[in-house]
Amino acid sequence: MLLTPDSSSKTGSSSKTSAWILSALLLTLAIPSYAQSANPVVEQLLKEYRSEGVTEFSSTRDGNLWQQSFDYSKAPASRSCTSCHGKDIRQKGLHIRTQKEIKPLAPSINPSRLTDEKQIRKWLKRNCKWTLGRECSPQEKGDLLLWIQSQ
Amino acid sequence: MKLITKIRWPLGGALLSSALVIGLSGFAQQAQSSWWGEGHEEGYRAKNAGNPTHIEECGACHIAYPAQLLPKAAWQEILSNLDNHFDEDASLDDATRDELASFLMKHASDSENAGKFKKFTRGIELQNPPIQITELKYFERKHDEINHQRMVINNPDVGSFSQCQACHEKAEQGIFDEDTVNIPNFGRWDD
Amino acid sequence: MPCPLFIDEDFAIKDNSRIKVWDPFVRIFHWSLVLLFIIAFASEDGPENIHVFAGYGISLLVLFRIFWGFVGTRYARFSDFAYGKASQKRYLKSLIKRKPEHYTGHNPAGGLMVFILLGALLMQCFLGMVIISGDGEGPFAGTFLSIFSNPFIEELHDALGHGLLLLIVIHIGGVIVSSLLHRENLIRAMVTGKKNRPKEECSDVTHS
Repeated sequence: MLLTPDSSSKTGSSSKTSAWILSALLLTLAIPSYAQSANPVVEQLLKEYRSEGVTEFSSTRDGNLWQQSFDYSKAPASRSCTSCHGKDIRQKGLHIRTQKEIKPLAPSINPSRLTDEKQIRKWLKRNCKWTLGRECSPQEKGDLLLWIQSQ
Repeated sequence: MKLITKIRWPLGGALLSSALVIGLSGFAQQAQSSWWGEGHEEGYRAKNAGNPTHIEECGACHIAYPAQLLPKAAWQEILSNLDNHFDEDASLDDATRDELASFLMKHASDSENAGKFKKFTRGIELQNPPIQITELKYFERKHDEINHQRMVINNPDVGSFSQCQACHEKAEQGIFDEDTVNIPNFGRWDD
Repeated sequence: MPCPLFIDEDFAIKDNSRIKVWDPFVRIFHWSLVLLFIIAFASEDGPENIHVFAGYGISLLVLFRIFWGFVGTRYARFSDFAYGKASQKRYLKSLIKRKPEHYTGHNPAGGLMVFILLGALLMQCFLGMVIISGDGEGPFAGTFLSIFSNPFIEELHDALGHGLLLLIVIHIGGVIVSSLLHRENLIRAMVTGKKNRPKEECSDVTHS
């Protein structure tokens, strides 16, 4: 499994250590820990996808899906996740039709991402349909979530 | 005729003085409303523009166009075709859609919360209105001095009339007063 | 001084060369209209209260002028300056020949302008009130007139506003031309109310 328990939360439980050690630890751990931090919302969704028959998720496989282009008869004729979100989701995106700014998707930059189950479901459904012309499979959805979470 | 030549002076005087008093009273009202802060309701300022569901659901891909810009029938039309929303899938779950519907109905341009935006109902069929704000007669009239090609379409920072916020600096707060207009690469709009 | 001095019944020396033409109400009306028109014109896109109430004021001024046109003093009455087409043509021709016919009150061209301006102003105020009736405001709110509150009427209101401005320019031009040709400051006459009495009327001492 790619998801390892969050080590920083364990440090916090050994309560009597002096405050500065704790903060120093938190600071140093905070940076690498985001990629692996257990996100209960994502966990829940992955569990659901597993129950639909997916055995293993990979955050690298969907890195490909993120870049992949799909052809359309209607404009924009070539569509990809990057059309609006960009290649680097730690940066702001730009809606390809309305030019509206899209806040970074990466939870490391924008911690409010991947925290609202309703929103995740809504956007996965809409945006898969827009980009791929169909809803994503549970496998694709899980892979995408993991990839986004790692950014 | 004898009577009228007697009362013509007081009558004429009353008419003349009331004309002047009323004619100048607009200044007093203006001054009063700006001194007491009531001016906020006077301008193009949409009431309850900060509704979180509205901002979240309508403001993700484009600015959350204030409910006051379109009449009820237009919002109804838009909400019942969210799966093909100007060629995009913007479908919502029923609960969210109903919540939005009640907010939009309550603040539409033909609702009691329209305020000054009531003017956006001018010249349109309320039962069969256009669903694009830019097709409203009042919108066209208010933007007839804007050079569409130079200031909008070929302006790299605007691109389309649908980008309210490009020039209306406080559009996302529902404020469209003329003194908040700043056309990128052209400057403030002083008319 | 066009008229000789004379001595009245009380043996006082009198100068009869000036004649009262514009009564105080005509003059107050005129300059109030100037003020309110400037306000209405300048606020066309600005604060709506100021524009709308200036318009109400102008409506009342026009109503007053119509009233005064029937019951006012001699030179204020419509009957004094409602000339036929023939007199208007003759007057304009006399202007071109630089030998203008003399009229104590409004000359035929000026009189025509009064009617045109009053009519246009009345129309303009009416259109303005039709427009705001669509927003549930003004005296026509809630009447059938509110269905005419549309951008076409607004364009018409705009156009008529500029038309009025043009009429005013012509009016001012006419006043300046007539003042020069008659050698009489007509603008001052609208302030003081007095004009020079023509020589042939010097013996006429009856007051209006």
